[in-house]
Amino acid sequence: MWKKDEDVKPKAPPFAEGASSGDGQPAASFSTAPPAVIGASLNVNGNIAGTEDLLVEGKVEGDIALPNNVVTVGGSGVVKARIQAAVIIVEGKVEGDLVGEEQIEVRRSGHVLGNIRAPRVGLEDGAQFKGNIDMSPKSKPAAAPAVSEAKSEPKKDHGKPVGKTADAKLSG
Amino acid sequence: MANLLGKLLTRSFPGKSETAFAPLGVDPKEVKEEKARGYESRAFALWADQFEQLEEAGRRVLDLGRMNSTSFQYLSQLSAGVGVMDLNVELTGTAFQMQLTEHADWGPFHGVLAWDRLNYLGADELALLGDWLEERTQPGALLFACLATRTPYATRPANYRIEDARTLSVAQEDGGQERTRRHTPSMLKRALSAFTSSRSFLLRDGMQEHVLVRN
Repeated sequence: MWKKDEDVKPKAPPFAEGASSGDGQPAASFSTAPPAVIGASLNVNGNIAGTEDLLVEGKVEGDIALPNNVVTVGGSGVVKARIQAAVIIVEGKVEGDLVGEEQIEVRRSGHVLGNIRAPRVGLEDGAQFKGNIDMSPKSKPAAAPAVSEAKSEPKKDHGKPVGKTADAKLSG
Repeated sequence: MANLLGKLLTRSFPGKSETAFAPLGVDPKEVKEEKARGYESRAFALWADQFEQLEEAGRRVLDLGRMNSTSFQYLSQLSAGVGVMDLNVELTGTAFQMQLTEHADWGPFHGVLAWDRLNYLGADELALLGDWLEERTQPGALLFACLATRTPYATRPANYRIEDARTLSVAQEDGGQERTRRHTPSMLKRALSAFTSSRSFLLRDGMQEHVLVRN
């Protein structure tokens, strides 16, 4: 039912551009293997679980649970379900809640109707979103400076400006 | 004459002389799309300052407008959670009520950004929103709203962008202006009876920015 397709990959790493509440870099490295692909002509009714990255270009109605992997809803993808993954990238349409263990990014072509929960969230201009965004810390230790410090003088990391993570701002 | 009125309706933009909205007397069709213009908002600065003084843990903000990247970046630094409603002001009656009941589980929020959307609601819808906000905020919660004191004004709500704690930019998708309903202060007071106006600032274009505090 699923096919491997090396030509269809996430177009860019998470947080390549646009605003994010985090530091703009993925916190963990994920599989370099090409993702499993639900092609544009496929409709899936049912839950999806597993341990590999997933690119959805078709339609999915059912929960997606890949807590250690990257789920990308491509530009032609339509998902009506709850998605749980380490990283979620939305370029298509999602109706349902998104839970990102690491981060979630809604690209400019993305439409999300549902709630987002992740330590780091990125929302590009043009993205359509309606719902709650919850960036409450879950289990990560607070490693960044206090709020006031981070707001007045953004910290530098390897010469690149970085944002303050939700973990950091709630640590005080 | 149109130019003179245009100047009178120009928002105060530091170092800039462009108008944010089309001047009176200009055919709306001539104004297809305005680019965003930044201005210093004393009311928003006050809202942000007071919001930051609220207890930080679990602090949440509700944005009734359309979210954008820079606003989200700012709000995500300010709060643990952001609710984005993108309130559809075209809906009326039961449809509007359904829009609110879809989000019955939202809240509580400690800050609300209504931008200029209240201008575009009917009296009944404004009352419904007032009740909805009352149920989802706690005493001390802060509401920021921009209300038109003159007509005509733009036919559609503007898109606001938070540049920083003092600076907003506003973009009008449709720069046309026509006479539309405007709420009187007493109507607003009734509809938002759970809130008390803390400070307000009148802008040159006739918009009045308010910071209201939940009773």
